Amino acid sequence: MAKRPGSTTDPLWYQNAIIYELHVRAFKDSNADGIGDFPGLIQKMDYLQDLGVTCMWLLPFFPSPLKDDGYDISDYLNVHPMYGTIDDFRMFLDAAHDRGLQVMIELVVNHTSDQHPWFQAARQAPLGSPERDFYVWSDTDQKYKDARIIFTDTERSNWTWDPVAKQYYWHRFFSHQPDLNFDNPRVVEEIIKVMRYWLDMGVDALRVDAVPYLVERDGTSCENLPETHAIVKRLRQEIDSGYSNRMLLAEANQWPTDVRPYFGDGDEFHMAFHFPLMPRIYMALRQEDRLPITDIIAQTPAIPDACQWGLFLRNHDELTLEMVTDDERDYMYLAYSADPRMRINLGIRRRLAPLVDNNRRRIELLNSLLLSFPGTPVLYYGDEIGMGDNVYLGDRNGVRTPMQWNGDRNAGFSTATPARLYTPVIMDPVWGYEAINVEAQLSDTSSLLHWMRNMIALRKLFRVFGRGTIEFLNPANRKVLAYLRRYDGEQVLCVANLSRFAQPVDLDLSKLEGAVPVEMLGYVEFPAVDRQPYRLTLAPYGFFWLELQQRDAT
Amino acid sequence: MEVDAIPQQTQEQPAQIDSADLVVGILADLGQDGVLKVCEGFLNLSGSHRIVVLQRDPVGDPAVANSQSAPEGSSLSFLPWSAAGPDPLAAPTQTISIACQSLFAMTDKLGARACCFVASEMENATPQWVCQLLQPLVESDFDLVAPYYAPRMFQGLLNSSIIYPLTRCLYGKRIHNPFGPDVGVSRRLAAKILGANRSNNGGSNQTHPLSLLAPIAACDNLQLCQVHVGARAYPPTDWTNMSSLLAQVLGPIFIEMERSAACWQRTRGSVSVPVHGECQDPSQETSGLDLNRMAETFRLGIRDLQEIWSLVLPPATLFELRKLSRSTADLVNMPDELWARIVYDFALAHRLQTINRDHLLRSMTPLYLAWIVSYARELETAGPARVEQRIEHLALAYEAAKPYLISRWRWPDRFNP
Repeated sequence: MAKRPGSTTDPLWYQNAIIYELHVRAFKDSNADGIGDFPGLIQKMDYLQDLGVTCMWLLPFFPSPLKDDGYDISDYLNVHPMYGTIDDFRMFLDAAHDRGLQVMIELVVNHTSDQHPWFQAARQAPLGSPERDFYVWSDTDQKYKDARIIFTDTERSNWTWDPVAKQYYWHRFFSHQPDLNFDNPRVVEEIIKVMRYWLDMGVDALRVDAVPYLVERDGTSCENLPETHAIVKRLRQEIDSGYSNRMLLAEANQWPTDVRPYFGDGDEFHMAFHFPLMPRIYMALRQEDRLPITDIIAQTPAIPDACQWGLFLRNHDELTLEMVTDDERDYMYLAYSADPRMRINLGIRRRLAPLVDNNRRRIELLNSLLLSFPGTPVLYYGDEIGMGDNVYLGDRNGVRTPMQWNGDRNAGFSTATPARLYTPVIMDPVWGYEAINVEAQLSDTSSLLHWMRNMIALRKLFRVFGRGTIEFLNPANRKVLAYLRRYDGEQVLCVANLSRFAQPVDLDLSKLEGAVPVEMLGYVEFPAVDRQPYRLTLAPYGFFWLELQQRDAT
Repeated sequence: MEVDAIPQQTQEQPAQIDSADLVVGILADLGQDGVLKVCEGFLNLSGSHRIVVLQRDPVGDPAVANSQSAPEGSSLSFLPWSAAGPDPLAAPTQTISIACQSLFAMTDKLGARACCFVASEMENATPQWVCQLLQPLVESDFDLVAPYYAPRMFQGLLNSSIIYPLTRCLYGKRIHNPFGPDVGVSRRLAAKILGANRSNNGGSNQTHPLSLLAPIAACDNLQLCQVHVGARAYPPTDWTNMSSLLAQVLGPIFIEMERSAACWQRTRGSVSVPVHGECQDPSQETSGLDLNRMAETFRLGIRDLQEIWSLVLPPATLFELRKLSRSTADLVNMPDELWARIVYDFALAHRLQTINRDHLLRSMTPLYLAWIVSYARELETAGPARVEQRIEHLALAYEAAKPYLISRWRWPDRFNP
């Protein structure tokens, strides 16, 4: 296949991007089989363009037994027939690029499905053979004892006995997801082939799943090992030498100092998710105290100029509480998941709106933080209309229900018989599709959807949000979070009230004396800054984005 | 290189013309003598230059033209220019758009330093007027040389009422005729326009190269100046087709507003742009406008277009318009502040695609005519010396209302006063 060029000319496009995470399966069904597909997704691309997002991140759509919603891959080079064909994918890619949208897909390389031909061959191959060595085997389950179990709800060990191979195989996730052996150069070559296949087709970015766990060594936690970084550098080298304007995003659920090495010296990942920030946003909101946020940002090391953090409020997984202390985790459970059904592994499986009790001001406040913190925001599908969840569905499926397009049958997601849907639509009076759907919100200028659209458009007008520095102001009132964003002459002061009550705050802006704050949403001038403390009053969960303009005209 | 933008006939030229220093595109019907006069003007350019002249009907004997007009060491080549494009019945704005596009593409292809577009006839023109558009490009490295036509009381009204004040307010540069059409453009700017046109048209947005000149030059901090070129001979206005003209002219301007929002929303106030040459005083004119008919059209608009305007204009504006329509038969006095807000609201509605864009812009016609009535009545008694002052007042009103535009642009909530 001929190599297609990147769809964007800006090598740092991801620093200004607004990423929208979606599941093909959940977005739109075009052939009435109850499952979303690529032709359906193409039908809805105008909606995404109109929303203002600039990059679509697709959850895995490859052939898979679907025991882990597609993260158990049995064929890296194809499309699951449920979602369409490889040609459908190509058409989708073209349609996205025609609209100026970039596309990011998953590169799930830590493990495969146990149904993958590689694993099927490995378990039957003789010990020490190249096929066998595609995976990690052991005669006992005692190796790598210091590695933690990630899926604590379902797995008791990172080793599982295979009766065919007559050995244990290693898996950091579900037992049906054996880990690939990255000490085997052939594995690395095969992964590079997979990478090239999709990049040649024109895919703009790859989210590398479960990066910290690629390599294991006895006596270590088997996370973030130097050998893992060597592999990442190799992958990055392949991209840099063969492709332009692509991006590699690391999913590394680690402390910021442990994520920092994944940027290398600008020779590993372009982007990495900032996992620890996300639960702390919710903590700060509930505790009405900015400290969790400022504290984690203070612990976040600087990254190379061409790199970027990926920020998010929610995603397809549980709201992970891996990177918090035990006390913090306990508090979060009490604060956000009183019902134990809402908890899974070390996290909470709820969507954004239910987490904050469907409070519109809280939703807006959290999104204002997401859109103004230093990094690239990642929106989870449905959160732009405040979709609810279904905690009665297993695993993380409660946050992966069909997109709610309108009040018609099946929320406009599918014309199939309702029982045929891959999962039921949300249908209660508060969260149901008749109450919360795109069509209704498009016709309501006061809706959350309109608000999100306007905020995204406003953010895109100012490069400071994606590329600028951040400096926290520390007013005496800890319920108020205030920070300055700066980039190339742009200065924006963001002030957020984390409290459910109105709050006053005095800000020391004396070094900005003479600047005129202009509220950005309504373009209203505020009194000029002088040497005195700058007093603001914020409504419950209120926030300001204030552009600091100089008094003299251009 | 934008090969598609260069008409086939122009591409099939003698292989020896593969480079040039300057390209001059003459779309205006100047006649042979007129073209030769223009070429005589090139004698004033310092230095030697290889100049390629594109024109609809080439001068009879290029060799003759060469020997008579070219400065020593320079050369002049003439190429026929099918600048009208494939449709001979295309509207003038469309013709100019296609011609500009092909001129910029040719400039890029030939590696020329700069180009100049001539679309107008001038009253009492001197041979130097075209050269004046080239001189700043050649001698002082400017990127855009815009024409500063002698002010006319009742000509160029679309420019006076919308194009100039809007462009000035948005991009902060006081370019009196930002839409030309007679302009000098550096290769650097021409290349940027070709690039912007490509990306806009990839998204099926109808843009006009001339509508991109001032925005791109201002936003990219390129060097701009203006040149007094004398009194333009404006083509007669087809008042029966005013709505088409509005749609053709304003559409590209509003599309460019969308594209460059991040730039103009940060621009505050405006600054003068250097002007070269000698100013010509405006002369007394009679309007020749049927103001009664225009006022009547406005009143009909109030009656028949209320439904459309209510999707675009806030209640306060609609209320003021209603009051205006009740004034005596021929007197419509539209305040500048009101007019500026109307233009901004239409720009916003264009962006939001509240209704079909072409339909939207055409519906603006009665409002535009109301402005003309208001303006003409004022100047009929005031006299020609007041023209520039009057337009300045309007431009300041646009600037004062810019916060209104920005706030509505960022939050297009219909719950407006």
